[in-house]
Formats: sequence, C-alpha cells, structure tokens
Amino acid sequence: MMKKTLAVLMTAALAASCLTACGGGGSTEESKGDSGKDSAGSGEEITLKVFDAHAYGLDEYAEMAKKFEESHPGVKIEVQHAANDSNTLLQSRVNSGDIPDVFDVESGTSAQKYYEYAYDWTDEKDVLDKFNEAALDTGKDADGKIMSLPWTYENMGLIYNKDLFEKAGITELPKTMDELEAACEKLDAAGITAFALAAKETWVLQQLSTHFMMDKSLDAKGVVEKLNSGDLKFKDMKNFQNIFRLLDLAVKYGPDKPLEVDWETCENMLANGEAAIIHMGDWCQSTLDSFNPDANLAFLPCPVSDNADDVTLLSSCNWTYIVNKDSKNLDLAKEYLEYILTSEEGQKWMCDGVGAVPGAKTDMDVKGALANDASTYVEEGKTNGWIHTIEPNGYADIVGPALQAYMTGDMTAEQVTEEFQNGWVVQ
Amino acid sequence: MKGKGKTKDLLIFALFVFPAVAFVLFSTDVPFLMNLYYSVFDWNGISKDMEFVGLQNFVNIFTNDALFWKSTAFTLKFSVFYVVIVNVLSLTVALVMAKEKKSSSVGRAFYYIPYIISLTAISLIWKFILGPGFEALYQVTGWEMFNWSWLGTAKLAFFVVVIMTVWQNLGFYMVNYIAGIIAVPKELIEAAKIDGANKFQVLRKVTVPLIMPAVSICMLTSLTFAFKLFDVIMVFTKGGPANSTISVAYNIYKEAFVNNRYGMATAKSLVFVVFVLIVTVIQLKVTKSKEVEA
Repeated sequence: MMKKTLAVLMTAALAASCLTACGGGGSTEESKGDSGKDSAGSGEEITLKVFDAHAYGLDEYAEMAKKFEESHPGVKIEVQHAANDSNTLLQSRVNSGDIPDVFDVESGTSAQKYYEYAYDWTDEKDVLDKFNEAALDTGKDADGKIMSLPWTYENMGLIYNKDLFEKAGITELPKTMDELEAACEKLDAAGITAFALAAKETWVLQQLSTHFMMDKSLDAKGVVEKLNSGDLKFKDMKNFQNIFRLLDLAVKYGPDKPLEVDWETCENMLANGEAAIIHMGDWCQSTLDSFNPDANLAFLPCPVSDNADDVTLLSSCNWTYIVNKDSKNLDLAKEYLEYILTSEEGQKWMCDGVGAVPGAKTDMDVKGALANDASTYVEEGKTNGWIHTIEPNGYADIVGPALQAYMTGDMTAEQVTEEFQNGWVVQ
Repeated sequence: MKGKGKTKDLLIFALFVFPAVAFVLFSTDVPFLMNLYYSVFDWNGISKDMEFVGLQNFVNIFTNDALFWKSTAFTLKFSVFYVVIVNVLSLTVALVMAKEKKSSSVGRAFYYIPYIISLTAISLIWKFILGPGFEALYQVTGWEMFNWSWLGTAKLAFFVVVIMTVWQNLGFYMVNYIAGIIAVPKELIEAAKIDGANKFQVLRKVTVPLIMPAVSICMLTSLTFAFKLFDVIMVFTKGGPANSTISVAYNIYKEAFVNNRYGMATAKSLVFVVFVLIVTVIQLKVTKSKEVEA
C-alpha cells in the first residue's frame, strides 16, 4: 500500500512538473510582449540577445563584443552565429516569441517580412550620417522609411585566376560573349579547365542569371519594377538568351561532371589553379584564402552581350541589421548596433575579419583582395545593384532547377525562359 | 469491494500513462491542431498578421502546384524501391546472421555501423565514393558506369538516394528480423525438417509466417521512413539536379522556410498526413492479417 501511494504521488509530481514546464514557456513569451525601457536602469545583469546570420571573422567579433561588455558593466552580449539556414533559425525564434534584440537578415524581399518588428531609424540623423547613402537605400521599406542598417558591400561576378589567364596568353579581359568564348578556347588549348561553375548550387545559377537580366539604363530596381508591372518580359530582355550561351560554355569547357560541382569544389579549383573562372562573390574570400592564400585572383565583370559596356559586376549591401522595436532594452540594442556597424572595433571586424567594405563610411583599409578589386569598379560607377534580393518571393525556387534542367538537356532554352516568366509572380 | 479495486486500478493506470500522454499531446497533437489552424491562412511565418483564406491553400495545392505533385511522385517511387529493397536485403542478411556463430556477431556489427554514423559523415563518405572512389575504379576497370555523373543526372541521382538510404538503414531492420528469427521455436523447425521439408520450405512455411510481427513492424517503419524522407535530401542532393530528388517533406520545408509560405506549407503537410494515414492503415491491415501464432 505504501509503495502504491508513493508511486501515485511521484507520478503526480512528474506530471505536474511537466505541465509547469510547458506553462513556463508560455509565460516568458508573454512577458516579452510588454516592453519597458526602465529595466535597463536597474542594477541587474542585462542580456542582449543578438542574432548574426554569418560566421565570418568570428575572432574579431568576439573581441568586439567583449569590449562592449567591458565598457557596459552588467551587460552580457549573447550572440548566435548561424553559418547555415539562418532564415530557418531566425524564423523559429520569431515564431516562438524569442525575437533577438538585434538581428540581421538579407536585405530586400526577406527583410521586408521582418520590418513590422523593426525599429524605425528614419529620424536618427546623427546615426544615419555615419553611413553611405546608397548603402542605406538597401534598408528602406515600401514607404521609404529606414527600417534597417546596412552591413557590408558584397560584390559578385565572375572571378578569374590571373596566373592561368597569363599562362593561356590572355592579355585582355574578355568583355563580350565572343571574346569570352575565345578566352575559353585559349584556356582549353593550354590544357586548363576554363569554367568551374558551381552548378550543383541552385543559388549560384540563380545569381548568375541576374547578370543577364540587367539593363544598365534601369539598374536592378528598375528591372524588377518593370518585371513586376509586366512591362518587361523575359523573352524580350536583350541579353537574357546569352545566359544559355554561357551555360553551354560552362558545360563544354568545364569539368566532366558539371552538375556535381558544389560551391566548395569550385572555389578550391579556382584557388589551386585547376579552373580559371567561377561565378561567386567576394564573401568567399576567406574560403579561397583557406584553400590557397597565395592565389592570384580578381573579378572579371561578366560579359553579357556583344557590347563591351554591358559587362556587369553586381554590388549591394545585401545584409541588413534590424533592432527589435519591442526589445526590453531598446536603447542598449540601438547602441550595440551602432557600435558594431560604425565604431572602430566594428570596422575592424568588417574590414579585417570579414575583409569586406562596410556600408558605414570608413577610412580603414580592407583586407580582402577581391573586395578591394571590386571597389575600383564601384568607384568608377561601373557596378549595378542586386536583382535576386529584391525579386518576388518564391521565384528563386524555380530558377535554379530550371537552369540545371537546361544543362542536363532536359529543358530547352525556350522552356526555361517561359519557366522564368511564369515563376515571376508578384504577390 | 471488487468494483472499488477496479476503479483504483484504473486510476493508477491513468496516472502512469498520463506523463506519456501529456508529452505526446504537447509535442505532437497540439502542433498538429495548430497546423490545422494555420492551413486556412495566408501567412509568411513571420508577420503578426495572418489573412484568412479558407480553403484556398488546398485549392492551390490541387490546381496550381506542379512541384508538390512532382515531389509526391518522387516520394512514392522512392517508397516502393526503398521498402522492397531494404526489407528483402535485411531479411536475407538476418537469416545468415541469426546463426549463433562467433563470426555472425562481427557481421551484425558490420551491418549495424552505418546506422549509427551521423548523416554528415555518411554524406562525406558517399561524396568520396561517388567522386574520387569511382574515378579510381574507372581507371582500374574501365567500366563506363564508374564514369557516369551519378549525382548530376536526374535518373541516377534517384538511385543514389535509394542505395544510400538502404545502405544506411539496413542494420536497423536486420536487428529487428534477427530478434524475430531467434524467437522462432527450434522444435518447429526440427519437426518440419523431420517431415522432410527442405531449407527453402522451412523458410517459407515456418520461419516467415512466424516472424510476421517483425515483418509488419519493419514494413511500417520503412514505409514511414520513406514517406518522411528529408535529411538525406537536405544534406546530400538538395533536391537536385533540377528538382529530380525533391521529396514531399523537403518540398514542405522549402515552402515554409525558403519561400515563406507558411499557410501553404501547413496545408501541404495536412494533405500529406491524410495520404500517409491511408497507406499505412492499408499496409498494417495487410501485414497483420498474415500474422500467425506458434
């Protein structure tokens, strides 16, 4: 009898603890809703929850966060770095009521979804003055309010291995499709794999395709607007059909199994002189360095037509930081974001650690060779914005696989063009 | 007196079952009901505002979602291949490994190891096999199959997924079958042998009917595994090339977290739940009806 009573009691206790645990989860969620700035003033330890969608320059980041903690006694910075699937992680946190105080998302279409949680920076002129105006544009909502602050410029285009070009006797960078083909032939004749397109990655193919959508007179935003309104169709784009010519080149002069090349393989091949051209952006600098720090690499603005002036290098601040407007420690969160994006420590993180050009105004030297190379084009005004960050939701999912199907011969250029058009659905 | 004891027993039973029921309720049933709720909304998974759209999501699935049906076709095809191959193979292996020899315990471990390796390691192993491994084999043998682009061709990528998952999970089903085979009473087999049955007849008329419980469990788990196929796709093929290996679970995941159409994704998962429910009920009925007792 004693035993039975004990068992019953213990079971009840277990059940109760399970219930309270569930209930506890619910209540913290609620307490987060009512914001109060007053808690910052009390002597208790404050934890600032930060979500960072990358894992670049981690040492410098840790150093930077430590300095902030030192200058703000009682404040603890809790950072989650998400190297993969940042969108999934962040979305789960938002869904479960655990919205970070400071977080970053991809600017454009992705960021718009989070703007209802975002603090409006529009009136904070002294903060905004620390950034380049073009960079700030990437953090505007539909009404032109500045809802997020830019991280660094990222540039993408073709990247080539200078040594291999020299070896093949290519003295001038190809600027038209014909010249590109001639360069491939020369590389091939010299026994060099010309192209290592990471065709396994649908996002690489998708990013590549945006070069061929670009109309220099409209820039990225203009092209997207015209596509949205239906004034522009894929079949009428003057350079669009050349994407197929480029893919043909990539298959003909690429590795034997083109669709098995993933992003890591292509970067490895480029850095170690096994392939001459890839499509990527300067965010891969640290990976390239890890494969071969002495690789002699530079951007090759992507030829898209018979006109040398049409070559494109796409540049944008594609990551943007949001402060949660309902944060319990709003002022602290704002201060921290300003600190990581504009202070000297923050610039060290971006320039040295990540090796990219900050969206904030800076005099600091940037470490990344590719970023430096790209900034010469940026200064000459030869770059264009990014299309793929501001295209309609869901479009990305269609484009990459369609281009893969073209490469395997399962779809014709015509079908792919139609697929692009059908996939561009404005919601 | 007797009646009192019964209610008391019932109470104790309820108390003991309660924690488990509570956990299942909160981790499965409540999310399922929430799923039901979200499926009638147009929601991006982030926003505070959800727009009620009624059954529009379901209408979209049936009228305007080729990719979902493509992924359903893939999942069905995969399920057939996977369930048949993995069960036939693991039963065969189990029949050999069930013999109580020293070598068989080594053999069992050998087949079980892939099941406990993490998926990341497995995908690295297979990346190696299909890459440098096949390249070396091609140079030695000159067989054209080693030179095919296994992951870069739609048809072949399908078989890579089948082979890889079978290889990985074989050990699990094997252990189930071994447990069943060992439990078969020896005297029945002996009696059959004395009656003049050959090895194949013993297997067909005695062993297999008696291990039907193991068969139905293995069928059920392999079928649900096949339907829920996600991790291999996520880590290894990413649904490619050209969406040829996109499974329903992966399609739902992408809908929710990449395309940010949460309502649509929950609606899809509901359609799929109904579908899986029907298939598993039929499958259980069929295998259960074949079970016999010794």
